[in-house]
Amino acid sequence: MKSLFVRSGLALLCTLVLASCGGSGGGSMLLSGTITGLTKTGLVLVNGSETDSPLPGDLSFQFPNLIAVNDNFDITIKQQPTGAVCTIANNVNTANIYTVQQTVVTCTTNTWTLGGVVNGLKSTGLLISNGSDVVSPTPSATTPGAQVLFRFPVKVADGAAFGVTILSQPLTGTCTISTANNVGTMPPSDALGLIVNCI
Amino acid sequence: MKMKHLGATAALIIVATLAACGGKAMFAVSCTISGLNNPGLVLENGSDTLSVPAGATTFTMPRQIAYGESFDVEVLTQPAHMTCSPVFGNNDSAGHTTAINAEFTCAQNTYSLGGTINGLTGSGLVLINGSQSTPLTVLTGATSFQFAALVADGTPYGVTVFTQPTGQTCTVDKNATGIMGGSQVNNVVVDCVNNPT
Repeated sequence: MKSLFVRSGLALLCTLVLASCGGSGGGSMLLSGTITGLTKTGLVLVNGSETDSPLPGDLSFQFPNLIAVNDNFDITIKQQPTGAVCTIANNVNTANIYTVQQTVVTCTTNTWTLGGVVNGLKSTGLLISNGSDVVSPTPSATTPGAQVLFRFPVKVADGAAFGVTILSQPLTGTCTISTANNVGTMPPSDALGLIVNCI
Repeated sequence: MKMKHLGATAALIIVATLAACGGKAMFAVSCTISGLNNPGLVLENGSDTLSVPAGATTFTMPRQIAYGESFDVEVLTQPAHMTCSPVFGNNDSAGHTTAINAEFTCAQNTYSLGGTINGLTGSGLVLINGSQSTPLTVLTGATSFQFAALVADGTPYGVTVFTQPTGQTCTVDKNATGIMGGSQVNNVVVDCVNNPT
């Protein structure tokens, strides 16, 4: 009888110890999700006390601890990446074999305008290219040769390379692009310092 | 025996009557097409051909086919600067589905962009084509290069040096920019010289 009492007590103790070890993390399922478009560092996801920090190029994430059936989860973005914005969906639910892998994080890298000025442009026909993206500055209507601004139509992603060249010369004159800054990495702001000089 | 004979005769009459009712159902061989921006496309289903104009999103082959007859709609002549191909349902038999609706898609032809490199002895040369392609790191001693990303026919390109190799200065000396034509470009010339010590 005494032995039974002791055994029962031990069993109860064991149960309590196990329960306290596991808590909400004492389950059998991975809490995970998919990621699209992540190109920058700094993203931190959080669920309760757990965090996960996906890296650029990651297509999925998973939290370190397992989750139990019927546990509630609420995954949120604790920190946005630098130079990008992520949104999260299907992130709050009760855990089961389906819901624990349905969270989707969608990231979009910030884009910025690339452009500059053209000095001395007196006729049409100038084409300036950043790879396949082309801009065609037109000369000042009132004062031919006066400085005109240009902007590339396609914005460039934060941290992406750019390299600007003259694709086509104007009908009159010859233009060159300053090589001081025609090649570079897109900053986290508009880059409008390109200089094209025409003679 | 007599009874069996009568049955067979009745069956024959039924078949004959059904055939006389108008024969088999006829099916139009209709298709949808996306991305067709250029003229010149001709499609064929056996000997049945059809020219499809630029901008079309649907077309129907001239000849209808009977229930059970097989069809195989293929590209006979590609449009200018493009390649069209079947996506779904271009090869089947009439009556398998309630209506025939084959799908085609067209995309601009793409070609590789590259050229030659002279005098490269340093490491770390990176070439770019604007912001579109992944920067290309060129191996030490390479005498040619080619961007991984293909460039579509009619699309401009402009090659620049993104990172100079150690101890050298490279410049894109010839044919740095252009507009992709109907074949690969391999005439871009990068010349590298040692930096003064």
